Amino acid sequence: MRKESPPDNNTARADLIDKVTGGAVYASDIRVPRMAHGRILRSAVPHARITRLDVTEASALDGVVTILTGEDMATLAQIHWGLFLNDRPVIAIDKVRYVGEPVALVVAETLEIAEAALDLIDIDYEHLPFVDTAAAAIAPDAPVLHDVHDAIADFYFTGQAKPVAGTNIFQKFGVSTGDATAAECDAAHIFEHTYTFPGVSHFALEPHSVVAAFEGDDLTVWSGAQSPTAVQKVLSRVFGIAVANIRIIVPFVGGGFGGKASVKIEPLVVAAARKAGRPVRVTLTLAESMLTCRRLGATMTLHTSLDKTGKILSKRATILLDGGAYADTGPAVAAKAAHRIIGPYDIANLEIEAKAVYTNTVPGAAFRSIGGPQAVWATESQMDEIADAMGIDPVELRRRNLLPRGGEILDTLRPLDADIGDMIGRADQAIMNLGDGAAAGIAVAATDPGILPLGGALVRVLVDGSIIVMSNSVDIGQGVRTVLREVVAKMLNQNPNSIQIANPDTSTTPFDWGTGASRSTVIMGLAVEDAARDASDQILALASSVFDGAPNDLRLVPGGVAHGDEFLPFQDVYHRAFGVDSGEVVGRAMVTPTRDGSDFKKSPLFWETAVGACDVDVDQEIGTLSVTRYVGVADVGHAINPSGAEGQEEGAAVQGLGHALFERLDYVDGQPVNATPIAYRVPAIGDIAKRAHTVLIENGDGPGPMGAKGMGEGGILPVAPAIANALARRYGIRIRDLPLTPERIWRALRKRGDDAT
Amino acid sequence: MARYSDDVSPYAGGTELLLAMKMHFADYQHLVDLKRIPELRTIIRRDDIVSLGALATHATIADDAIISGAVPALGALCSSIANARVRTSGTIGGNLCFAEPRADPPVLLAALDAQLVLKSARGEHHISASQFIIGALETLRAPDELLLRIEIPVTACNIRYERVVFGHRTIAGAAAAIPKDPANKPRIWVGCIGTHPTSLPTTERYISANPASLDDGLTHAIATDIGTLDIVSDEDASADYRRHLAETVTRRAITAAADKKGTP
Repeated sequence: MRKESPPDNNTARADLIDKVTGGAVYASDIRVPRMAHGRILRSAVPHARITRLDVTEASALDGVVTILTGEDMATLAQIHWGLFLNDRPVIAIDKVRYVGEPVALVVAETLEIAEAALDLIDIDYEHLPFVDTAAAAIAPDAPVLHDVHDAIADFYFTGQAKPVAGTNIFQKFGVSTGDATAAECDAAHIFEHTYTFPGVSHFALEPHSVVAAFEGDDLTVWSGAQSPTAVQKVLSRVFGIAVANIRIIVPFVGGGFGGKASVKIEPLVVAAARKAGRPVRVTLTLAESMLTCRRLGATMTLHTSLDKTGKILSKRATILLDGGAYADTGPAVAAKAAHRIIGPYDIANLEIEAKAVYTNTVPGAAFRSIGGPQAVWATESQMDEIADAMGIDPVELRRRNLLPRGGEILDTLRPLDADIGDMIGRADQAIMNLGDGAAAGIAVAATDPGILPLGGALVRVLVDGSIIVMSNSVDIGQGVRTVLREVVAKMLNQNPNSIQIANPDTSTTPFDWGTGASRSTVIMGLAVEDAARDASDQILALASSVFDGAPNDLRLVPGGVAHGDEFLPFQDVYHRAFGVDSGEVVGRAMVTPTRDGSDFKKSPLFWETAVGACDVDVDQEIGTLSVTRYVGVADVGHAINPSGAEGQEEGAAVQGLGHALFERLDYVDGQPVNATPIAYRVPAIGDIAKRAHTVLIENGDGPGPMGAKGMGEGGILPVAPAIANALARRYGIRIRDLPLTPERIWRALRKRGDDAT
Repeated sequence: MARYSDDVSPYAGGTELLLAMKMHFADYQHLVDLKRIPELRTIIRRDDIVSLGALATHATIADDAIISGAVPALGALCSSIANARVRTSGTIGGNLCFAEPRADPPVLLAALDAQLVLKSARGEHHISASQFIIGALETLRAPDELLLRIEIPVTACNIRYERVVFGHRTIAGAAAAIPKDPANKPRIWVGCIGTHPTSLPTTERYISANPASLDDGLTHAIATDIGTLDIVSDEDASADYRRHLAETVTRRAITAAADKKGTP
């Protein structure tokens, strides 16, 4: 009888060694036999009809395999695709709608040849009037980007977009409770402010990269995609191929942030591979990825009424989102922004309308907490403005209006499952612990992740005791593999090092909706936990038949099964049960809205909550702002991998810092002027607060394994308003437009000086 | 270089050139790789001249004992330019010859009164750093010429470079070289605000006339000089804000240089 393996307390990331040694494989590392390389010719104009597209000379270049253009689209099963509206052609057909839209894709033996061929393509445009802001897009005489709105229901997210015919509005979403107008009549104070949040880039360091290969009728796609099954589904519709014949494999992904969610360049690359009759690889540059998707910019006007004690009576909000040239998941962004602009407050009367509109700019898309940072920027900035105007401490004003745990932000949503007041107290304490007194600015947030509870997994316990977990959750850097490994290790009582998390692969792995909306820890966590439990049940059943006396008080121990002092390795259990020194046990599970013991019918499955507190220092002569202290607090239920969870919170806060201080995709006359990694500024290590702390609240009350809630998006929410509130408190200037650039701060300081004299 | 003079570029660190070529802003059929000429990297001091090889990288200059002894302001600047990757491969000569309007070293080298030594098949040619750059991406270097070295006079001056940087981009930079002997002329240069570095003559005269006075008169002199300049307006800073920043960094550079009495 062999010994049990020693316990293993290794909690390092599952992908640590692969990543630090450069061994981790990304989509751009994939090479397949006969593979050709694609480069994309992009529109240089914001809105135009293509009057001539001549690829004759480019096609004749030695080494060019083929050139895909709009003419090739006629043979597709479905020419236009989308997630809410079928509005996007696989490649521009006779019209371009934004600078950067693909108009031709050259496939060549080498990248260099493809690149050279781009210069030989002749294209003429008949320019059309364009709109590069949402305000211009809803003007009465605005050019309309899309003649028809083909809305599709429950395709990716639950629900259907409500476009307005004959306009650029592709989504209108309202929330209405009580009677806001009547409440305003009784109010002691009404405040109206408008805030703006610009379109910003995801700026994942790994750009979009796809390899597509046909083998007969079978299509294999390697893509750094966050939602492999959504890619599979859209490709099936566009190319008329059965889902079973489409295999999506996702290697490691170098950052997603929503920019690789749903479907991006996969249909384009597959169309090129189909025409070329060869595998095709397209790896964008980071600048091209910046022309592929971005966060939706927003203009938000809030009318908030209060009684004389500072109790909010009503809130009316209009949210206008700049959705870019194609809707993508913009309709969901609008709906979430409408929820997220309420805040964790008890407000009886709400009248909120969100509109998302087409503009001749880079398509908007999901981005870490969709609609959240925009909405929270407005709401939490205004809370401080109201507090200031009413002479109430901003924390006190929030406390007078916060919902308690169990309170309802909307009666259609699950009651709040966190204590925001307690979180504020912890933020206060943590920032005091950093020295130099209380915070100068805080902001709070509660958002409802749009989680579809649908995802499965397999846990295969192999003969030597090594374990493969098959899950379509994508490791986009957030560390999901580490979390899943931990869940399986706990459930099976095995060493984490004996567990491999396989690459997502739709041909071998059960359906999962996708990686986003902070859902993987909960949904895939439960799926692998259930699958591991299923494996455990099967192994113990096998073992009870092979131990002497068929005992039923067996337990799993590292490497095998134990009964009292007796230990059998898995190999021996299988050997005795199967009659051969081989075999495996496959545990399987599918989490659905009706999962036993779960209450998944009501949204959200949990609330993603955040409090941010900070202090700032401004060089008043120059206008540069630095965050001197920052504290983030999140209620995560349980941190399965504490250092990974802190990393997610802090990474989100740093990304939020970029939104707060630096980032804005700028357009001048329909042209993106800073959509390159040289011109676009994201935070660097020197920009981060030198004194910072993250507090994770763990009450074990989440729906996921070990009481975990999802997390990773909340930390981005409070950063910008907390900083703006600190700026207002310390320096007496209120800025309602992001980012808080040095020039804006300098101008506000000068205006303050002028006003004072 | 002479043979391909209509379609050739010297290639050293490549931090600007390769980027420009990748983005199709520049297109050369021929590149001459200078990295194989070690002589172009040497930094030596001969009497009161520091001779700085054109291929010395920013990182080398930042760590060089001769530089830190003779012109510490240049070492300090080179230690903080751009990012570590650029500092490790980018060269001082490339920086000058590319003449990117946002580059800092040309501003400081002009204030240091450095001389540039260029060479071609036609012979050697000396140009003052203060005259070398004539516009955005434009210099007096002929297509067949190579910049060999930069000769920096070591003088009894207090030297200071001050700048405002957003991300990796300098928004305004100013260099002040104030002689310890008030009889000698100060050199005050500003850059990164227009097409190329510019001297501030009113300010220089004011300092000469009022060596101990850093008052409203100085502020006025700086504003007078900078008021005459064409200042770029872009997404980082509009012209009036950048003008203010240029005035601010100029005053800060002069104040800091004037405060450093007694240090080299």
